[in-house]
Amino acid sequence: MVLAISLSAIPDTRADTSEQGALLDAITAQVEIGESIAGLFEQRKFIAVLPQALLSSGRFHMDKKSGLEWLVIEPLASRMVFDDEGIRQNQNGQEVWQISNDQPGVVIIGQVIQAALSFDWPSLERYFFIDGAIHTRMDEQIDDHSNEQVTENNNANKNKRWTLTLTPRDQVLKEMIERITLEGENQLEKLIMFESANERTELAFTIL
Amino acid sequence: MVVLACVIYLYLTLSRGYQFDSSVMTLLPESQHSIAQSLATKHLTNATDRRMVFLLEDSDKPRSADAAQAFTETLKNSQLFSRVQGKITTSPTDSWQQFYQNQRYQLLSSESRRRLQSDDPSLVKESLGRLYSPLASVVGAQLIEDPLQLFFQWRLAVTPRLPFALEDGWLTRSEAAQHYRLISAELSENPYDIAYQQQVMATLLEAQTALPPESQLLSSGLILHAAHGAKQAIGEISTIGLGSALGILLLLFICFQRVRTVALAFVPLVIGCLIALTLSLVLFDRVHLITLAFGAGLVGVAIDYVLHFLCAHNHENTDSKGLCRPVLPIILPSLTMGLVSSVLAYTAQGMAPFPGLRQMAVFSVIGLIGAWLTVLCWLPLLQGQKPISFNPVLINQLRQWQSRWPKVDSVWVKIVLIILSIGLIAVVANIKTNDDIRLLQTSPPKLLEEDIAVQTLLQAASPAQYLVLKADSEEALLQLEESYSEKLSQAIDTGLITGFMATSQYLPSQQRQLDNRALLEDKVYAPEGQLHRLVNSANFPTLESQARQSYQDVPLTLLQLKDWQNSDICELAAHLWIGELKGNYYSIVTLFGIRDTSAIEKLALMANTLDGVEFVDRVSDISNLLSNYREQLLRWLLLAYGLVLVLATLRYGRDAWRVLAAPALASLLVMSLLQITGSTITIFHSLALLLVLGIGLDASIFLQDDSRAGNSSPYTWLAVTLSSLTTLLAFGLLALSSTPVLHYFGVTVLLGIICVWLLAPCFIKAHDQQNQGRTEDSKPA
Repeated sequence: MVLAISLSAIPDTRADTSEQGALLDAITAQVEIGESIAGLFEQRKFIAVLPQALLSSGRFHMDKKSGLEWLVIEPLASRMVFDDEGIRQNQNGQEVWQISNDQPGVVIIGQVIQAALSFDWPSLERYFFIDGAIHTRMDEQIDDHSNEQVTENNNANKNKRWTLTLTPRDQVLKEMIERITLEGENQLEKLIMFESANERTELAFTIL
Repeated sequence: MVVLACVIYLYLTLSRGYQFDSSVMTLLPESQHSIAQSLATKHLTNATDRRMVFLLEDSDKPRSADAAQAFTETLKNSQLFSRVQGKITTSPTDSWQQFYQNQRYQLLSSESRRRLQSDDPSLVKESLGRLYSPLASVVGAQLIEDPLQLFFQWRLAVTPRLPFALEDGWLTRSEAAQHYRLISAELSENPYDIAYQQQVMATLLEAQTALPPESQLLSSGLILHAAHGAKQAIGEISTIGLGSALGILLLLFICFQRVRTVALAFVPLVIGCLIALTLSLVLFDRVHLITLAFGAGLVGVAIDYVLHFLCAHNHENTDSKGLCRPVLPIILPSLTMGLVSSVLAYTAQGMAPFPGLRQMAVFSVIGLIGAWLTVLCWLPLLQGQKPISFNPVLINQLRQWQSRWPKVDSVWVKIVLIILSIGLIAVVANIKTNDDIRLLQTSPPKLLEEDIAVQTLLQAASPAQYLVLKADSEEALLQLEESYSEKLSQAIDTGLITGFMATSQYLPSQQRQLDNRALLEDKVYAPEGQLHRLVNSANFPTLESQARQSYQDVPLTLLQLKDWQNSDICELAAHLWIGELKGNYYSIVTLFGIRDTSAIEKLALMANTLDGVEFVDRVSDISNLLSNYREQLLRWLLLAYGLVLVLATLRYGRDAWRVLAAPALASLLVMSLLQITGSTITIFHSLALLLVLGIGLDASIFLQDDSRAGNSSPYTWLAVTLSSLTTLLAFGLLALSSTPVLHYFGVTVLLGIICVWLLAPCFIKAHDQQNQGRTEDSKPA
């Protein structure tokens, strides 16, 4: 039984702001939002021209002050910091590349991941229409891409799984990212960026 | 005949819809610069004159998006703009990608070049690091075309930084709880065209009125200032001009009590102005509105001649039949002396490098000569020989005042004046002057603040400081830009500036394109190159051949200037390329975020180190020019006093100082007063002192001549008083102007003329005390 909060997929969500607000409030109510978040990630990058996905994994740490620190450990060590200034990349302790926040486009990636990890809905709504559903514990008919671990997780606690779809508000961003899906329970567990039909970036998180 | 010709010419010109100039810029001095500098200034001005930027501020985003949409549509529907940029529908990244697609193996950022040249081994790791991070989302798709993300980095390096992000299709910037939507527009016509100005202002007002009450509009654009300037000038002509005309009329009625006489007083003025306007239209391409406003002031001086003429037509100057003796022979020497001194004063004003002031000076000189000729040729015919009856109360009162006026020939007055003079000189010697360019601002603070707010939010390039580069070919110029860019990069590293913009960033020189291609060939696509290493360390088996194929599929085709100029994306930097003039090629490099004034000095020094590079600082240029000219003017003023002294000595001998004392002392007094009241002294105050000299001389000459002739008649004193009052009404009222330049001028003239009027009679040698006077005036000298 779907908990009656499934939003229309029509991009213009201004009419149903209250329903959307209720959904996001419900998610906010059940997730754990800490001062800082740390955990492990696994990234699978699907590129049209490559037969198999590019796999990478590592650790991340995020807090309000220093932003998001992204440490790739496998297959090679690389450190990336996403903060108010922009993006900085370190290799062997040396800054090798950086991009400032006033350069449009690229920096949005870091902003999205930070906002998603901290359930910062207003920041996400700057760029996206948010659409999604919360599912009851006994729910077997779960839609979209979120059915793998549901039963298992629901046995473990009383919280409900949720999935959200983020659609860019403007055409220009849409050309870069078609949509983003978020799913989780009391934490964000999965974030998938669909860049185009054959390109996507999947991030799986384990919060520590 | 001359007058008739003028009337016809004026009628023909004005009926053809002549547009008076209202641009503030034409009042600005022409600076003496290199060709490159003036070319660049003109080029940049042309590029920016027609541009308008609006920021719509609101705390609610959906509301501001709707408001911005409505605003944009109103502008578009008006048909007054050649382009209105509101909601953005095509991705700028895509158009870049498309335009440079075939040149992607010829473009490298300076950082990438440096690292490729040294075959930096960390390049591979670094690009893999991005590919294994969430940035893969951005760089992944180009893995084959741009395996090391070099083209991606070049694009990031040259994309102009804009603190606005695309939200809901609008360029948006959020500051605290406020959101700003950016709208820009391009005017389709000349922003100085008054009729067009009014249409644009009406459309803007309409668009602004339709905004929700919570939204606030910040606008920036030259047309706003031009429109304000025109409105102010027209407003002031009608208020100040009308005020002074009415005041003068009233004054003359009180004195002459007859319509005919008053009307007669205006004849030379009307004719003078007519001739002045006609000749100005012939001499100058465009007559400035402020010239006309100032022309109203001409009335004050030219009326002197009539007044002296009319005042001489009094009952005391009659023969036995009760008819006036011809007055011209009596007053002609004084009249001519007055004209010469005024023309001298205006000519000095005309020496100024300010086109506006020069125009005013020419207008005034022609007007004065016209009026003088009219008095000579027309008035004797029009007035006939009948004496004029004056207001008797006034005459008696003046006679009394004149007899009680303190004279310099009394010891006490002499002592007071000497002490006063010493004190004044001490004060004047300590005057602090102000040569700030802001003196020339005519716009109200609100408009200027809005401008600054918009420019700050935009983080636009500095409009006043930039570089001009010169070389003998397109290619040489681009290469010069490239080598100077290295210095500018260092300036960014040391924090002098935050960025710069140059054509060569978007269009590298042909040499640089060839170098880049060779570098890629050698270091990336060579058999054991970076590509090979990347593929090996990441284990992408098919990638190497695919990437190599992609590279070979794009042969070297050099990007040309005309390709760039014809592209859509050149719009953001098109203003930087000036082009060819007399065999030389010029371009501009704009600077962003100049740290402070010490940074400006360092940048100027830096520019000197390379041939063909010039640093332009418009602000200090104009300030220097102002101070330079202020000093020159002071010398001119002293020279004018010197000349007049020589002239006066020829005529008055040892009494020449009496003619000069009043204007000199009055000038000192005014400057001291201004200094004591905390007003800054500017070049425009100094200019007004020339007028004080001219008018002070007029008054002193007439009184002195009158006294020499042996009759201190109240009629001469009346003429002097009237002419002082009319000058006050004409020029002094400019003190009410909200245009700083005119205000400074007005205040100085106002105070100066009052002082001259009070002082002039003191220095006149009383004819009945001639001997006593002569013995006493040898002492102070």
